[in-house]
Amino acid sequence: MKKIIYLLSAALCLSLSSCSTDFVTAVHNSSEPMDEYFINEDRMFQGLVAAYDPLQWFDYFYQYNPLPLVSDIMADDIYCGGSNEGDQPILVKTHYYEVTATDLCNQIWTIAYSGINRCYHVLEYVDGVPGMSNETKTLYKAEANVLAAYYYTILWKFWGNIPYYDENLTAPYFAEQLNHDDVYTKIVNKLEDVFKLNILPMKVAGGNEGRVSLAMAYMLYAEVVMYQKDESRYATALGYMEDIIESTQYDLVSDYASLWVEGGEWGKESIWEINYISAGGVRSWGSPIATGGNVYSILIGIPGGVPGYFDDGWGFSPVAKSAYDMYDDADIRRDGGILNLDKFCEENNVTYDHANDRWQATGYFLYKYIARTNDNHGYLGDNTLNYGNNIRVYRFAETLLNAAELAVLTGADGKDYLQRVRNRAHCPDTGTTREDIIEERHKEFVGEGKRYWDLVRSGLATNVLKAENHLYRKKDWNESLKYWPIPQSERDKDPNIDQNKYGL
Amino acid sequence: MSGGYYSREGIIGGNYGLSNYDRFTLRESLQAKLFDKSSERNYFNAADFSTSASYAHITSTGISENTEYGSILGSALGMSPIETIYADEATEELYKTLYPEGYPYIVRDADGRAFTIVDGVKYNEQSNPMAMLNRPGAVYTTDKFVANASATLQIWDNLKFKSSVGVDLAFWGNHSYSTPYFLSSKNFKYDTVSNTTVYDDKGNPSTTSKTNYGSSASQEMNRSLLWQVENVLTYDKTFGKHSINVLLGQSALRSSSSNVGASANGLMYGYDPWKISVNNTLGQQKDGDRNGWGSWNSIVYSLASYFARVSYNYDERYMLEATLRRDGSSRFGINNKWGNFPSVSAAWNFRNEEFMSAFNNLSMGKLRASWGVNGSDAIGNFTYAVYMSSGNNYVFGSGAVGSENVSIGTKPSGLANPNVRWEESIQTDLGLDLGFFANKLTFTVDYYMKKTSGMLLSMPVPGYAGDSAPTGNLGDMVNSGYEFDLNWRSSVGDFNYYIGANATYNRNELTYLGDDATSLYGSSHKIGQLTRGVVGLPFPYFYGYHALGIFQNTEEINSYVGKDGNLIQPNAVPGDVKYEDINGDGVIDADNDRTYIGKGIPDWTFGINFGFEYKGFDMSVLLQGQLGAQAFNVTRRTDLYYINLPRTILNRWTGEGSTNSAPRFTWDGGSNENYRVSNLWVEDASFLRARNVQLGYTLPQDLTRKAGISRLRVYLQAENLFTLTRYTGCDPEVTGSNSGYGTEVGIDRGVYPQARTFSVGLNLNF
Repeated sequence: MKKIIYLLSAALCLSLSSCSTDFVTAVHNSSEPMDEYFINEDRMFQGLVAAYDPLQWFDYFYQYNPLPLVSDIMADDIYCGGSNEGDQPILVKTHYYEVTATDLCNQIWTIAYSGINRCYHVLEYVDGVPGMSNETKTLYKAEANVLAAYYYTILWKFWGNIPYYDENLTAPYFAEQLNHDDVYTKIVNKLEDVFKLNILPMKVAGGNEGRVSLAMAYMLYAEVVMYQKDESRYATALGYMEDIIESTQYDLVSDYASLWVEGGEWGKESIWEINYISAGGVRSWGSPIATGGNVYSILIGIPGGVPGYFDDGWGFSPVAKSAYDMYDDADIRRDGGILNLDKFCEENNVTYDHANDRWQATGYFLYKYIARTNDNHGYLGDNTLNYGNNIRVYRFAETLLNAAELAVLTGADGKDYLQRVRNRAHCPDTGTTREDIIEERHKEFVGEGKRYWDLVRSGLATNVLKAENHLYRKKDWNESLKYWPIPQSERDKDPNIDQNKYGL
Repeated sequence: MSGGYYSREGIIGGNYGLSNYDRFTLRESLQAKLFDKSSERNYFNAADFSTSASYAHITSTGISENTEYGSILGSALGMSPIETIYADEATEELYKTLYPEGYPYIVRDADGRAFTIVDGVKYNEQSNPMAMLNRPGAVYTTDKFVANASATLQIWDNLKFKSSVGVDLAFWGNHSYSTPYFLSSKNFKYDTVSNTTVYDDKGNPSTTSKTNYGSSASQEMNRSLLWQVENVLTYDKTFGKHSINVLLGQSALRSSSSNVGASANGLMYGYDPWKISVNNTLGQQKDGDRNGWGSWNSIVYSLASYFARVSYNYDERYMLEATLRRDGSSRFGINNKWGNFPSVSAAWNFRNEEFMSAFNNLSMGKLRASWGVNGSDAIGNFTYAVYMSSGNNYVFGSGAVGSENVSIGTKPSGLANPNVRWEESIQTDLGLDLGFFANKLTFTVDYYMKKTSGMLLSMPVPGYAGDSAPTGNLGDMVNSGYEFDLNWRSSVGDFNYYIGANATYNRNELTYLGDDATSLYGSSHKIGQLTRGVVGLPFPYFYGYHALGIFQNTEEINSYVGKDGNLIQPNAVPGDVKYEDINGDGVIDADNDRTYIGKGIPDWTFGINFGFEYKGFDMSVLLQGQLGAQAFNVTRRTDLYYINLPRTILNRWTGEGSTNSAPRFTWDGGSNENYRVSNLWVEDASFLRARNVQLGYTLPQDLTRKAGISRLRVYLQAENLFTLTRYTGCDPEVTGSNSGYGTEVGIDRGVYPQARTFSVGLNLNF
């Protein structure tokens, strides 16, 4: 009897403890709340790393949207390709200028905004981190701001009129949509504010390759200023290009073809690359945003492969014959950037079965990023998703060509800069007009995602991107196609977003 | 004490040991009277004690369904039907030259026959589904212990105290392994060696080799513990015609969980399943070929409740009851943890009134009314706060000089909503129960009205906010309707029979939805979001374009013009869908021309049951159905070209006059976007289904008793014997994956079909 009373009182005591609100508070043992997380420099660095993370998602995040590919298939050097017209319908619609609000590369939107969100977390917390030097804090702020500007630039180029915010949103999570000119002003001001901090190194130290440098920020600045045709900033942008050139920390490599192999990554010509890793890469079909290799390489790889040289790939991004034919025979960029498969087979005494040819096949492949045998060594995830090929975003050759073009645009002489690029390519001087420079960029950057934007900003797109000049496209490019439709799912959630008049 | 065993083979892959379920259970319960001194004193005079415990052991294997890439079901549906299953000898010889490296790892069945290797260039990662079924799968095991104990003490004459404790402890996990295989040139894995070359400062290369293993083993174990206590004090008193019951109580529950696992590559002792474990592997941690993981959560979820109830009954004629609950949940932030939930009810049993004594045929008569508030905390844990998650890594350094390194990145796990609180439902119910002829005929009717406020739903946060949406208290909804239940049970001589029917009519309406007053849900690949919530309409409803029919010829396209004479659908060709220009502005656009095109919630759900028993024979039938519901059939993968299509594609438009309800065949909908969200994909999901039909015979007792059996019955049973429906998908019963309020209700993304089951059974009683 007494035992029973003890038992019951024990149960009663146990239960009375539940009166408190402490009882109904759960404990998260495997994670910490954000407000208590950034308590030292190591953790703040983790926050900064997370802001870089989305850079590597574009090539495969449920859609295949590598930025060079998506840009190039809207221009004239690269076709869409793939196993057939239905392989990646969204890419085909992009290729044909038939983007709709529901059929578009909307993962670019999602990824870029994810990056922006993470940059702002760094900016929100970095000042409060104890034990961190002011210099490091300022460096992190500069990196986060340049990255945010880079992500906004992607959105601005594809969509123009986008929701914009300078710190992370709070409930109900709506932002004001800015006109494309205002977005430009925000981006360019963001970069100018970073330059005032005077903290970024012209080139990052070894082991840090991939982090934002001053040269990278200058290149981004020149890109947005030139795309906006902002004459008031041409002189400043030219000055920045000259700063990079005069720093002598970057230079052209003599062998153009060597730029694209693993040993050529982060060479003296490289200003900024998106890093991919094959050894230890854990990217897999189930984890499309895990850190590892590049999917772009297998995407544009040779169907069936060439044993010993190139891995079996999916045949996207075939290079147009016209692109191969535009070079002089002496120009090392032709075979240093484009793979003429039949010629290659003849020279190396191997065979290729053209029964493997896929849609829009030309026999020309993008040598720059193609899946070479052993490019995916040491992977831990899926073999096809872990090619180590970095995406070259800014090369010193572009610095020179930017400088040449900005010089011409400001009434100066850009010949020396331009000729450095031509000399490396074994090409003679063929003039220094702006059109000559755009044509030089055409040859220099095939498949690097530059051509389409060059045509749009120079006004040449209307003439060059005509259906009659294209083997497959039935629509001419016109100014109304400059900005894609805003994804419908975004407008469904935020009805205050105005739709772009794409094609109208 | 009791035990049980249950075993089931899956519809797909069951005979390959890949989709099976085995359960073994053991149960024990014990009741004991500790003492009973009620004849001696009126305080602390009696106590009872009871315990129950059960143990279940479940072993199951499963195949993955509903995944686009590389799944067995996906491959079976996508593969060309004229592919052969097995490769003949000549083909095998061909494979040796076609795939010299892969051929040794070709998949074979138990008899050693080789499965066809499909063309990887054509099918990408999709493969021969029969070969995939013959590869090893994962085995899942669960061990579950449930124990309860309670004690009751009679404290005073009418005062009783009951205390109970319960524990639910579960261990579950899986072990799996993978052996080398070659399904196609796009789907294979076997040991390969790769070389990594790095360059030193002077540009000199040095090369290291590494084996990429084609085999692996992994194992994982999870543990969860949930305990709860409940203490209840009751007071029961009857004096004269009054009877009163008071209850005061309290309960609390808490759960915790942990998990640990490991995986490693490179099986050491061959591929004999009995010798495979993570220990017996070659992979090294430094190469990333050996992984371990673990997590531990001491308190995942806690719920505390206090409750009080007073009931009063006068002469079995008038009944009143009032309840008050106060619940606290760990799923809400500091200011929102607690909610108060009162309810009251009353009933009048008018049959027991004196003035009714003349109505002899009326055997039961009761009027009921109730009003009450309920709370729900059915959301995930920790959604009110922002917690950090790791694994958001990036690579710095250069592969060319071997300084490439993965840096660990950390970010918040998503957007948070610190204001999330209890969802409340206020339900009012009025009811009438009638019975006639000694309850041979019974009839019940109820009217109910349930107002839900603060519905817990994923907030419609735009993607540009940069992270995943939190849960919020988004809207208010009213469900109201009637429930009817009519039963007749009687006999004619030895013939006993019954017939009954029930029906529910429900009307659902969204009454409030935040400030922006519109929300879309349930997105589908390619065609956008399918369901929407708008005040004044059912929640959720299907939202899309209204198809008027199919353009039969060019004249119809040219005569479909706006006010200014412009073509409304200039991109259309004959065979394309004609959409209604709802706002009359001469263009079809997403902003103005989408409308209500159906809903997944039925107006009527009903059931009919009848049966009889005659001289040992018995039969029972249960029919169920629904009316007024539609299903959104998005089972066709419009993002894939080279896949098999359902038979309904035969009814497509093939020329003028062929049909007015299905567009011409196109890969991707064409420039008219024929696959956009429209009523063409919404189908009537009304159905009548024979849920259960049973026929039995009980042997005469005088026969069976000789064998020591008191009752022996054999029966034949059919489940889902037939379904009458016009729906063309697998199953009209599309409930959708219910998250919160089922924003997916009625969306058919390819539901796993319900099986038609025939069974023969035997009931034995000794």
